[in-house]
This record gives sequence, C-alpha cells and structure tokens, in this order.
Amino acid sequence: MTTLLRITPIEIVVVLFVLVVAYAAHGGARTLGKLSEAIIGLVVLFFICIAFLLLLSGSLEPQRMLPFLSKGIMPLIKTSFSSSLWVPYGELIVFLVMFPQMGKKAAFRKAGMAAILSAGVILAFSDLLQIWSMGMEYEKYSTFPLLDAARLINISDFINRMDALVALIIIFGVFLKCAIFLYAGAKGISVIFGKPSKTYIYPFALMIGALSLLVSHNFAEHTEEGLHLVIQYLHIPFQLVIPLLTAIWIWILSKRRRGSSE
Amino acid sequence: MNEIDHALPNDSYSSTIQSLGHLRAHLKLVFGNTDDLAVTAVRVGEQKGLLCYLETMTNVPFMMDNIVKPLSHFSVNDPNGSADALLEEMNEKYYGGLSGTYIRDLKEFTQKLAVGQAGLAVEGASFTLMLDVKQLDVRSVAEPTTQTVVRGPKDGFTESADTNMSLIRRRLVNEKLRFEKYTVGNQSQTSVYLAYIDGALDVELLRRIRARLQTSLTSSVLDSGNIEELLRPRELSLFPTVYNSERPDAVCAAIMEAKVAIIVNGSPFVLVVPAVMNDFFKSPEDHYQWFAFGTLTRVLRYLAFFFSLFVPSLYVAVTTFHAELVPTVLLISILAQREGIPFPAVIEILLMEITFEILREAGTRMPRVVGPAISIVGALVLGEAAVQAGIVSNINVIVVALTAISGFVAPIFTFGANVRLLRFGFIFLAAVLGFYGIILGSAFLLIHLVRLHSYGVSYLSPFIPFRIRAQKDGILIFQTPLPNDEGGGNGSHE
Repeated sequence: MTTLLRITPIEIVVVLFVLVVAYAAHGGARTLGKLSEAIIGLVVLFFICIAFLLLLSGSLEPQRMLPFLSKGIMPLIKTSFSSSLWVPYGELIVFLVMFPQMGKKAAFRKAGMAAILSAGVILAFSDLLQIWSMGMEYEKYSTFPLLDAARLINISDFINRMDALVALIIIFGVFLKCAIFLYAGAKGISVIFGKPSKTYIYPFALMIGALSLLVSHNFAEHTEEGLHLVIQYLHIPFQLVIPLLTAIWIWILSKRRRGSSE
Repeated sequence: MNEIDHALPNDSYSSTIQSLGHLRAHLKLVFGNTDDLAVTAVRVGEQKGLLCYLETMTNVPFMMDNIVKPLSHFSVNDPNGSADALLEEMNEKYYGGLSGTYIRDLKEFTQKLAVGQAGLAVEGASFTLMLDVKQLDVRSVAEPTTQTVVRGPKDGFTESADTNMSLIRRRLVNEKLRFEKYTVGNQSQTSVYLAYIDGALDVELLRRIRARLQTSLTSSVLDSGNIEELLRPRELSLFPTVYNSERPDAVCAAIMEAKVAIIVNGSPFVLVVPAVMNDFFKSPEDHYQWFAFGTLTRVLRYLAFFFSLFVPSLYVAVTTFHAELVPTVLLISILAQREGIPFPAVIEILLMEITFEILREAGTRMPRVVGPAISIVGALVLGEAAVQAGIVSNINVIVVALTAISGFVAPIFTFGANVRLLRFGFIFLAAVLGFYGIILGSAFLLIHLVRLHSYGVSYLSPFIPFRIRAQKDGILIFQTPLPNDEGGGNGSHE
C-alpha cells in the first residue's frame, strides 16, 4: 500500500482496513457467507474480464505452457506437499469453527467439497492465465504475477492499466480471508472465556492491525515469514498435528463411552 | 340550559351514557367551545333525543334528508317499549344504508363524532346510534407527479385513504384482498390501513408490522413518511427499506408479490414492505414495454447509480493520486484544463457539488412562478461563468453534471436522495486515501448492504443470496413463455 500512498502514514491505512474487516466479522457467519457470495461474483467477473481483454490484446499464447510435465509428476507432488497443501488448502481448517452453524454433517461435507473444487478451479484458471500470458520463468520470479499479466492488456492504447482489477481481486480476497479468520478467532476465544464472540471482534481487529505492523517491515520479510517460517512452525502443527491429535482423542473418547454404555 | 349544571362528572372520559343532560355536559367538556359541533334536539317517537355531529365532517343536507326526515314520520309500533328497542327499530327500519353501530362508551362516542359520524341519542337508552354520514372534500384522482411513465396507467393515489383503497381494489379483483385498519398517532388519530392478499403472505411479516403500528408512540402522523419511520430496521442505514409509491399499479404489483402495502390517510404515498434494493430500480413501465427495452432501462439505472456514487470520487482520486491510471492523451487533456485552476480537485468538486445541491433544493422549494430565474442563474452564471473565470475546469463541470443527472434516474426519489449523501463520503475518502479509500468505502458499503434486512428479506436479494429463479425480474427481465396454443389440435396453420 505504501507504493500507492506515499505520504499517508501506514498506521492509518492499516487501522481503517482492520476496522472494515471487523465490521464484516461482527455481522457473524451469515454476513460472511453473503459477503463471500458477493466477492466471488466480483472475482469471477473480473477474471473473465481480464481473460477476455488479454485475449483481445493478443497476449495469450497457450504454447507457453510447454514443456508440460517434462520431469514427470514428482516435482508437482513435491511442491504440493511443501507449499500449496498448506497455504491455500490447509487454511480450510478454519471452517471447522463454523461447523455448528452449517447444519448436518452431510450439508457441511457438500458445501466443503463445492468450496474446495470451485476454489481449485479459480486458482488453476488464474495460474493458466499467468503462464499463457507471460511464460513459466517470468511467473516464477514475479511477486504478483497476475498483476504483471494484467499490465499486458492494451487495446488501441485506451484500455490499459487493467491491473487495478487485479488489485481489487487481491484486496477483496485478503479482506474476506481476514474477516473469516477474525471471526473464527473470536469464536474460539469466546469458548475459552465464555463471553459472546462479538465482544472480541473489534479489540482483536486492532490487535491484528498492530501486530501486522510489528511482524514484518517490508515485503521481502513478509514473504519469507509467510511462505517458510509460518508453514513450518504454525501451519504444520495447527493444520495437521493438533487437529489430528484432537480427532484421535475424540475417536478414543467416543469409543470408550460407547463401550461403557453397552 | 340548566341541564349542564346538574352533572359534570369527573370520570366522564370513561363512563357510559346515562342521560341526555349527561351527554350534553360530556360533549361540552370534550369539545369545548368549538364552533362546528352541532347538538340538535330531536324527537324520536315520543321520546326526547339528541342528534350530534361535526358540521365540518358531515354531509348536512344528506343528513337532513336521511336522518331527520324519517324521524318526523316515524310511528312507534310499541309505545311501551324501551328506549333501546326504539333506537334499534329506528335503525333497522330507516337507516339501513348508513352502517349504524351502537355505542355505550362515551369516549368512543366522541371519537366517532370526530371522524365524521353522526350520533343519535335517546333519553333513557343505554346506548347511542352512530350513523355514517361522513363527507370530505378530496382531491380528484390525478396523474402522479413523482413517478411518471410514458406508457402505463395515469392515475395516482390521492390524500384520501378511501379513494386509494378503491384504486387498489378495482385493480386487484380478488376476494382474498384484505384491508386492515389501525389508528396511529396519539394526537392525530390517523387511520392506517394494511393491504395484503390473505393466504399468500408470511404470517410473521404481518405480525411484525402490526406490532410496530400498535406499539407506536408517535403523536402525529401527517404523511406516510412518519409511518416509514416506524417501520425502519433497528440498524442505522442510509438505504430505505420501505418502498413508497404514488402509483396504484406499482402497489398492486407489490401486493401480488406477497408484500404488504400500507395506506396512510392524508398521504398520496403508499408504503410497501418488505423492500429490497432492486425494488428501487424498478419502474412499473419496465413490464409494459417490450422486455428487452425494459432490461436496457434497468441496466441503465444501475449504471447511473454507480455513476452518481463513484464518478466524482474517481475523478478526485485519479487527479490527486493516480494520474498514471488514465490513458495519456486523456490525462494531457484533463491536466491542460486544470492548469489555471487555483483549487485542488477535491475543493473544486465539492464547490460544484454543493452548488448543485443548493440549486436542486432551490428548484424544489421555490414558488413555480420564479422558476425560470433558477435555470438562468444555474446554467449560465454558475456553469458558464465559473469555467470562464477559471475557478473550475470544464471537465469538473462535466463530472458534476453527469453525477447530478445520474442521481435523478432512480425511479423512487428517496433512494436517489440518500445515495447523494454517500457520494460526499466517497469524495472525502478519495481525497484522503485515493483509490484505496474508495475500495475501503465500497467494501464497507458492501458489508453494510449485506447485513441489511427488510423484514427478514436480504436487502441485496435476489442477487445475494443468488436465486436463479428470481433473476427474471432482477436486472434482466425475461419474457413470460406463451402457452402452447399452436402444437395441439389440428396442428399448425398453413
């Protein structure tokens, strides 16, 4: 954001953002659901726009995808386990918090499958757009590859600078993610301290804003922390180890209870 | 007149009728020395009687013909019968068409007098007979002034609730149509009617509206705007959640969609709940034209809504923070025009926006005869001269004009009026935070709209939550399929 607003203090930018996020989280699960419906509509619309405009400006070349799987399927599986599994997909663990509000097990499973599949399709579509327009090498070294891809759009020197649409996609996506995590965190705390979760939303939001300023000073630090440290020290324990142990524990408890009642 | 002296009961507000003298005293106490109260002594058979009415609310010649005249040639069947029986006989024999009711309570008696009924009391009877002889001068049905259409019915609601109900009833020839009466306002005692189709409606919706009307603490209701205040949601919002219309066809369409219309006596604007955002972008005319044209106008209205909300703030953001977003040639043209302007873009925009708001307000409030003065001053002096004097740029005038015209596209005025306030918020955000501010503002607006409900209906429906079946009357209008009348029987014609 500092590249966009050169003299505005970053604190103001952050505080306003987290306050709006908190307003969304304060509305509860129903609001978040409807908000994500609105945002997914916008994101899909923007993606279609970008794809269409890239096509019109002649920047899409599918042969940039080649060579396809030249080293076999192993590198793919390796990356999946080292990063993709944890960063977008592992974070789905947060939706377990909303399990009680989602109705029955079957409904949760159905919604969950639909969510994973549609998210996968959108991410794959975005990746394809990036590779088709810029090629593999460029995509690998760009910080925001989709943003760079959108910069290629140029139709008769009038429709250009469409990277604003990508900025919107990123901001709205991050926005929703923050709101859901904030809501889930407040829910969790409310279980521990026994007060309604809404009381924690605004204080938590401000705390998140402050921590975000303390945790990293620039983008390089942010990616290093987010893509390496967090996966090792936070994602693997919180997404895999603790839920797995909890599941085993619940399974043993329920087995024993069933055994004692018979 | 010594009858007045003998009884001035303290509890006369809650007491029942005792004697004619008591009644007179009570009327004196309640109505005081008002000039239009007529209390006439009459004879009902052999008994003394009193005829009371308000001259200003009743049709006096009609009353003379239909109430007083029958009294003069009334012969008693049973001279020994009670006064109660006498009144009942009178009512059944002569006053069949006047919807007579029997009233015991004195408070109710005075209330009925106030709404234009005539009361007939007989010495010794335990109740009075109330007869409906109301006559009010009403404005005749005329073309609506706020929601005009090119093609479609030209009649509009008037200030009389009776007329309005009849306008609805004659369009919806449906025996399930109900009009439910409520009295709201401690002082004004205004009649408010709920109109709905029985059976189609969500019972919970009806219960909530009734509760709001019955528990209201309002002292006076002078327009349906006062009732709209009662029906608003608890959450503070700039967006209206109650629809209002001057057009009977729009209200009938809403009633058929299982909504509740609220007719307020004294207001030509009939309210409808629940109302969602999309309702404020609909004009009844959309369905009277070819469907594609209706769709086009509806898309245009949404476009105009976004224009009036975002164009000035985008202009401010782009010229202040993000000049690189504009195509170069356009940027040069904008900057060349702004070269001699002494103000930053935000001041320039605010100056013209506020000027326009003042012009608009002046245009609404001024007497009709001075109308041309406004257009001369507005268009020539403020537009032309401000640009020539180098105070504002041409592009600024274009931006403000586009915004202003877009703001008036909304078919329901209240919606456009509220959006104007938001526009100023966005201009401010754009001036401080640029694009980022606009995005934050839009996110806030989106969350607010998503959280907003109108009586349990999501404000952004049918778009959020998305209902595919409801899309045929969303932004797009689909044609109703025709019944298959060509395939059957003898097959198609040559």
